[in-house]
This record gives sequence, structure tokens and C-alpha cells, in this order.
Amino acid sequence: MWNDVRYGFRTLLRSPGFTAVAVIAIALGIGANTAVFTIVNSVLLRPLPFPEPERLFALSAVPENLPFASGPMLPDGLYLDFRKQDRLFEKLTAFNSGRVNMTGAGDAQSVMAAFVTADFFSVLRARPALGRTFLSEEDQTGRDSVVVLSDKLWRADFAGDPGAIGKSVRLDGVSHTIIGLMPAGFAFPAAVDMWVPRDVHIDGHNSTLMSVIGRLKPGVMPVQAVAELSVAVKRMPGKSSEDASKTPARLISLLEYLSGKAQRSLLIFLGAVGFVLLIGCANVANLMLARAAGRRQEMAVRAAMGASRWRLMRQLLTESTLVALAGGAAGLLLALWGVPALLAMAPEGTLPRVEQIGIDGWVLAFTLTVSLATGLGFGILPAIEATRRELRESLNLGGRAMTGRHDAVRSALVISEIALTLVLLTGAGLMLKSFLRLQTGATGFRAENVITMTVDLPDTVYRELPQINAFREQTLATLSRLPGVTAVSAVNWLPFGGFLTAGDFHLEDARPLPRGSTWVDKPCVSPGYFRAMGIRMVSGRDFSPRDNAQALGVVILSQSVARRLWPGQNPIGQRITGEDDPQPQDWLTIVGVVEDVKQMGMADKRGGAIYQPLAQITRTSWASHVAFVVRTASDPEVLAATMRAVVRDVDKDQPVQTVATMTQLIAFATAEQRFQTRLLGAFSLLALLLAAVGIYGVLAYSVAQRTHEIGIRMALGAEAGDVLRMVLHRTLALAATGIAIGAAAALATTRVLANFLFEVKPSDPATFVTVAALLAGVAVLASWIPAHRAAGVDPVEALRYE
Amino acid sequence: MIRLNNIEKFYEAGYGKTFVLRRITLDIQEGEFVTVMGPSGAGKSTLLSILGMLDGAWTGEFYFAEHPVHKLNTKQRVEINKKYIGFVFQSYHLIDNLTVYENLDIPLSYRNIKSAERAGMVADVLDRFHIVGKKDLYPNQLSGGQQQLVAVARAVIANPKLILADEPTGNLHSSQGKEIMELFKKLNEGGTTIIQVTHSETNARYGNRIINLADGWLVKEAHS
Repeated sequence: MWNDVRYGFRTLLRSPGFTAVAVIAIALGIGANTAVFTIVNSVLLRPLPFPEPERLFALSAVPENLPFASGPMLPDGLYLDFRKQDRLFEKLTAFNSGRVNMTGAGDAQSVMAAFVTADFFSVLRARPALGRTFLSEEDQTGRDSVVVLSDKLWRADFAGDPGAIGKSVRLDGVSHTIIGLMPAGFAFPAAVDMWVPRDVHIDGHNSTLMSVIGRLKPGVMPVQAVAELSVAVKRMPGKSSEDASKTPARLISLLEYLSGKAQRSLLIFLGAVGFVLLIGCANVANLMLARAAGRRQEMAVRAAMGASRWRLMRQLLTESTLVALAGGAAGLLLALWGVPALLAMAPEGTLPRVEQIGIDGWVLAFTLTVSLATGLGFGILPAIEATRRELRESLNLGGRAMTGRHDAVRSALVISEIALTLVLLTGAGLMLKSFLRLQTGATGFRAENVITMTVDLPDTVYRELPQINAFREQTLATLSRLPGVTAVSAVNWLPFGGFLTAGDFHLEDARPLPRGSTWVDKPCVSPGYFRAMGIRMVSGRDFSPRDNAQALGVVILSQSVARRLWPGQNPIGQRITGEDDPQPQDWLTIVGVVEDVKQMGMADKRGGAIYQPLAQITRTSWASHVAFVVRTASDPEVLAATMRAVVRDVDKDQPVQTVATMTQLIAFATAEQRFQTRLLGAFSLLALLLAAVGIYGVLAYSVAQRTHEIGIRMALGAEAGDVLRMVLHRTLALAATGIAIGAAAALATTRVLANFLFEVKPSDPATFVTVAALLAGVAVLASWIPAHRAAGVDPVEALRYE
Repeated sequence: MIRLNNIEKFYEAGYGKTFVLRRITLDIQEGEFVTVMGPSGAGKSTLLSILGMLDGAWTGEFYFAEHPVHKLNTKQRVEINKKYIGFVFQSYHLIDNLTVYENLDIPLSYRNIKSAERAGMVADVLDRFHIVGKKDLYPNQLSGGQQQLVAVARAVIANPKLILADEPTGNLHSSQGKEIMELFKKLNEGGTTIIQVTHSETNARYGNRIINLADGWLVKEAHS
């Protein structure tokens, strides 16, 4: 065995060109696989960094017919009821997160806080790095003025000073004492800067959905907890048995809860780089086949000296394994660079557990296993071919050994490369088409030259509507006087902002309406909003300053709602209400119809909107989050700093949450698709390059082997064009076969992309045809040099060639 | 040592057969030095390949040291090759990326001989053939005669009872060829059975028996 290793090294070092090409091809494939597996391992496979993480579960009982998408959550009432039982769970904790205004540690800023019950850290068994976490009563009102900071916030705002423990900060105007610091790397829920204790209180009018996790007691199976939760769902007040059956109780492991959303796309990427590696292997297998052809005499001599076929194969497999291990080592180095590059490309929030992503022992084991498997994979076929026992012919032929069977095997490898490349390219093409549709699709508004500024007014400071309205109007007035501003307005939740207000409505004529058709977005806007956002007024009028709290209630419908409720008619003057038991003052008159707007992104296909004037809103929660919309004559970004200063002048303790142009918001909303498209595109281009090299290699070798034959053909009257056609015919035959097989495979596999595509079918014919044409073109290009070399053969030299 | 009875080899060609060897019946005793002669295409090299267990596609009966080769599978034939036979080729067929020492070691490494013992056997043969000084050279650093000398040394290193030589001096000039033939004669005098294929009457005279083939048939035998 050691002799085989020694001879293998020497043989490879004697062929530096072949060895370099083979190692590079394998390194690219293994490097890409290692980089993606590093992320897959850290996000999907590695246990969570909590003691006994397999006993942590998220509880879910969400009605199936919710008009909006929801992750695993429990209604607050169900959580309070279920937490009374102590048979199954050691502890349960509920939490949600949101932005708060923090002052008292430098400039006022908007930070992300997790609002958690007191048991939160003890459920996870997470210990602080400094100080302590919450005591059991500290989530009760009056005792909840404490806060635990994240390591990131502590270092950014307190310079990592341990003396921060015991200091105070103001959150939404209320003083909180810092009692503890969590260690670096603790990030649950994701991306929060601090943890604030808050118990769950029932609001008589509304039910709130909460995230709930629990630690199962030892010996308790998840299925028992699901059964118990189902019983609790049926017990919920106002829940009929039919409703209960449509509210499935579920337990989701905390690992899946954190990383489930990313699972599909990560596995697709792993599949894509697997394809790249297979293509690289096919390339190297072809190279090794060509080499093996030249070594058949050596193999025959060794066999004549008494080597069994297994000994010969072992020698060749040792060489291929050495190439693969060298490729694996180089690939690991590539991955060391590649993983941070991938993470930098990934939009924030796309990858969970980012802080835990890194190369560990499992990744090294994966790389080693893939390297060994790769060596076997691309080495076995050449080893079998090179050791076939036609000893007499090999010994007599003296080294020329390109048999017809060898050619068929090499052709099969190239066909498989083309097929695999087509699958990858088709997937990338579909993603690209989908992404372009997302980018260029109609949003319903004109995004250019619009800049937005979002503030969250805390209810501890802005307790009453007049305060909120005064802040808003003062800010709007100042913004309208800024140079270059052509229109200003405000809305509670911006389109493409990721959030909205929504609800039901009823018609004055009490017509019964189809189930689900009365759920609409309910954005609240100030006058001039549609002009500022560039939303087309279809009929009627915009809101005016006269539409205030003293005036009759008015609304503006989006076009799809108007068509749905009054098809072919003018809805202006009709009346609707959002109240279930409306009083006379609750009826709202329709004064206008505007074009539909995609509130939640380009893929938003929901049922339209009913706009209300901010000045007529009666709930502070609907007005306290406000986004100012400013349209300018030129580049809006120059106003960003000035806009922040305007808010500071109105309220120096009120931080600005974000300032972004609408174009940036749209780009941010499509950032994940952009990332997926870029990554898949990069892998596909790599595959295309490898396939092109593979095609070139096969044809160049074939031409070299057929030099004698070409010489005879030319001596018999063939011209250069005939020879060119002969080579190109072979190229197109290879390409056509590979494309046909690849197209069939792509039809089957691109279905996994269906959830990622926007207005593009996985079997989109235009994409398939374009990719096939591209591959055929690349194949012809790759064959150009060998074809011209063949056409330039000197028949006299060729006939002397032996 | 060798008993052939009605050995035939053919290739299927369209609706018929192309015979390479026809009803070869032949006995060779241990210690003989046999020369196989005949025109091009007579089947000489084919016969040698069959005798050397390199070719298993033939019909008839073939006994080698009482082993019924016609009843053995490929693996069993390889074992006989390893145990009894050494091969010398016209084109030397040394392995280019191995040194002289390593080329000599190759047959021993395929016979499960421990490395210490192999080292001794290689040293012994290097000395016997007076090529100790060349042990670290590669074949492309040797002359044709030196390469064939190494090839012969490789053929005898495992102490085979039979050496098969296919045109051993075909690529050598006369003085080198003579050197090789003298070596064969010496090996034969030491008890090794030698069967050579050659066109050369001069080389044939080193043997004690000549077999003539023509068109696959054994047409003549003569003792010298």
C-alpha cells in the first residue's frame, strides 16, 4: 500500500499539468460543498447551544383560516390556560419582540427588544455572562423595570464596561435598570439587542398571538404534549368544535423553529454544489480515462508480471485518491474564504444562527469523506477501463489504446456533464426570471425620488392621540418646507415595510359577502399620501385637512375592493364600517378609489385596502407608528440627515427608526431572492465553465486520436470544411443528447423551486429553450479549437503518424 | 512440463471464423530450449501468449506442470503465471516512471513476498546481471541492450521454471542480441525451460528444438 502511495505521488508529480487541472477542478467542487455544508451544519444540524436542546419545543395552535401568514404561535389566552398545567412541561415562556426607543446611553436610538416572561432564561437554562437574569416576579407590572442586554449592545453603547450592571437606561421613556449581560453568541430570539420582562395580559377585545416555548419534562414524549394542547384548544372560550378542528395543535423542535424557514433554500444550495462537484468529477474522470489509455501498456506489463486486477485498480485508485485529497485540502482553504464571503452576501435575517456558523470537526469530517468519495467516484471508471485484461493487444499495440469502448465511456461522461449543467442553469434561469419580475413588476406606486422616515412613538410618552397628531403635523409641516420637496405625507405602515394594519368591514346594505372577501389592509394616511407615493387616483378625491376627528368619517378604497363590492358601479358615496356593532358615527363614507398597491411585497396577492385618514383614527396603537413620505425633485438621499434633524427638533428624545428611499425598501424586500439568484447563478456559471472544459477535452483528445483517420479522409478528397463539419457534428450529437437528458431531469427537479418563484412556472418553456440554446452555443464554442486543429491536419504527416 | 492437445484460437468474422491457431498438439519437457519460428501471422506470438496465461480465449487441452489449464479460471491462471513463468518482450516493456531497482521489485511485490526478502532478491539479481550501478536509473537513461538486460533480469527474479521470450533481440543490434542470447543459454543450462519466438536463424541455433508454424498450423518440428 505504501508503495502505491509513493508511486502515485511520483506519477502525479511527473504530470504537473494534468495534476494541477485535476486538483483545481476538484478543489472548486469540494470548496463549494464545504462552504455550503458549513452553513447547513451550523444552521440545521448542530444542536442548539442550550443544555438538553432536544427537550425544547415551540408550541403552536394557529387557526388555519387566518387571513395572514403566521409562524408557530399560541393565542395569549391559550398560553395562560396551558401554563397552569405542570404535568408535561418543566416551564413555559412566552415572548414577542419589537422596537423600543432607548435613551440614556448616548444618542436616542431605536433598538430591538424581546419582551419575555420571567421564566424565559430558565426555560433555556441560559446563564448570563455578567450579573443575573430575571427573578420569577420581575415580569409583573411595577416590578418589570429591569433589562438584560446583549453582548453586541453592551460593547457598542457601554464600551464593554462591566460597570454597566446597575446603570439605568430609558426605554420608551421609562427607566430600566441593567441587571445582566448575555454572553456573545447568545441570540434568541434572533437579532434582539435586549430582553425586557413582560407578563401576558388578556385584552378583552383582542387576542394576541405569542411565541411560546417550553422544556418537556424527562420521559414526556412530544405526542403527549400535542394531545394535551389539543384538549386545551377545545376548552378555549368561544371555540366551537369545528373551529377547534381547524386549529391544529403542534409541537415544533426549537431547532426547526429557528432554522426551518431556511432549510429548503439551504438544501437546494447543497444540491446545487453537489451537482458542481459531480460535473468536476466527470471532468477529472475524463482526464484520467485519457491518461489511463496511455498507461494500458504499463498496466498490461504489470499484469504480465503477476498483478491481479484488484492490485492494479488499487494502484490507480490510490492515485485518484491522492488527487482528491489534494483537491479537498485546497477546497478547504477555498471554503475558509468562501464562508465569510457567503455570509456577507446573505441579507440580514436570511440565515438563522449566523453567530454560530463556522468550520468545526464535522465540517472537516465532511470534507474528508467527500474527498475520499470523490477520489473513488472519478477514479473507479478509469481504473476499470485501464485494467481490462486485453493484455495481448495492449502489449502489442505499444501504447496506442483509444478503443471504441473508451470513446463511448468518455462521451457518456461529457453527456452527463452537459445534462447536470443544464439542470443547474435552468434552476438559475428560473430564479433570475422570477427575480426580474419581482424587480420590475408593478407595485402600484412610483418609487423613484421618494424617501421615507419611520418613527415609533412610545405609548409611555405619547399616551393620547392629540400628542401623536401634534408630533406628526409639526414634523410634516417642517418637512414640507425643506428645499427640493414636492410632496409630503404620512402613513402608519409603509408598503414593502413588512408590516400592516388589517381587519374586517361590513357594508351598509348588509349584503352577505363571500367568506374571506371582507379582510382588507387598513392603512391610515394623511392628506396628500397618494400624490407623495405616486399612487393613481382612479375616481373621487384624496383626503383633505377637513377630514379630521370632528368631521364625518371617510374612507378611500383600492380598486380591487371597489370592483369586488360594486362591480361595474361607482362606489363613491356608499358607506361601510369596521365595527361589528356599529353606532351611527361608525359609518364611513367612500370618497375615492385609488389603484391597488402591493403592501407586503411583489408577491402580495391579497384582497386590497381601505384607507382611513390618520386624523380620524381613534386607537393610539394605529397612529403611534408613523412613516413620513417625502417626494423630491431630485436625489432624495441628500435629505436623509436633514430629515433626522427635523425629528430631533420636534422631540430630542425621539429616535428615528429608519430613513430609506422607497427604492431601497423594495431592494431590501427582494434581498433574499437576489441572494438566492446570485448564488445559484454563480454555481451554474461554474458548472458551465467546467462543462465547457470537459467538452473541449473530449473533442481535443478525439481529434488527436483520429489524426490518422483524418489524414486518410483528406488524402481521399475530404476538404477542411468536411472535417470541420465532422467534428461539429460530433459536438452537436453530444450536446443534443446531454440537453435532452438534462431537460427531462430539470423538469423533474425544478419543481423544488416552485415556492421561490414569482409569476414563473418551474416548467417555463422560454427558460428551458434559452438555457438549451446557451449550452449548445457553449458546446460549439468549446469545440472550435479542436475542430480547426482537425481541419488543419497535414495528410502526409497524419499518414506517417503512429 | 507443457502438454498441448488440439489447441485452437479463432475470431468470429461475419458469418465465419478466422483461425489464428489450428489443432496445435505439442509436448515440451522441462529444461528444453524451444524456438518457435514461422512467417508473419503464423500464430507464433499467439501461442506464446497462451502458454504465458495471458490469453484465455482458446479451445483444446493445455496441461502445465500437470495443472489442467483448460479447466482453470482467470484467477487460477494468474497464480500459475506468478508461480512458474517469466516473460521477456520485444519492446522490453519496462515501466518508465520506475527505476531499475523498482522494475525488478515489481514482480516480487505481486507475489506477497515480504519487503526485506524482496530487497535481498533484487540485490542478488542486480549483482548477477552486473547492473548494480544502474539500479537508480530510469529506463530512458539506459541503452536498448541495457533495457532488455533489465527485462530479462525482471523475468528471472522470481525464479520461474519457464521463460517465454517474444522476439527478445528484435529491437537490438547484433552484439547486444548476442549478449542476451548467451544469457538465455546460461539460464537454460541452469535448468530453466525457455521458449522463444524469433525470425532469426542465429538465435534459433541457441535452442535445441525448432517448431515451425504456418497459417496457424504446426507444420514442422526439428531437433538441433
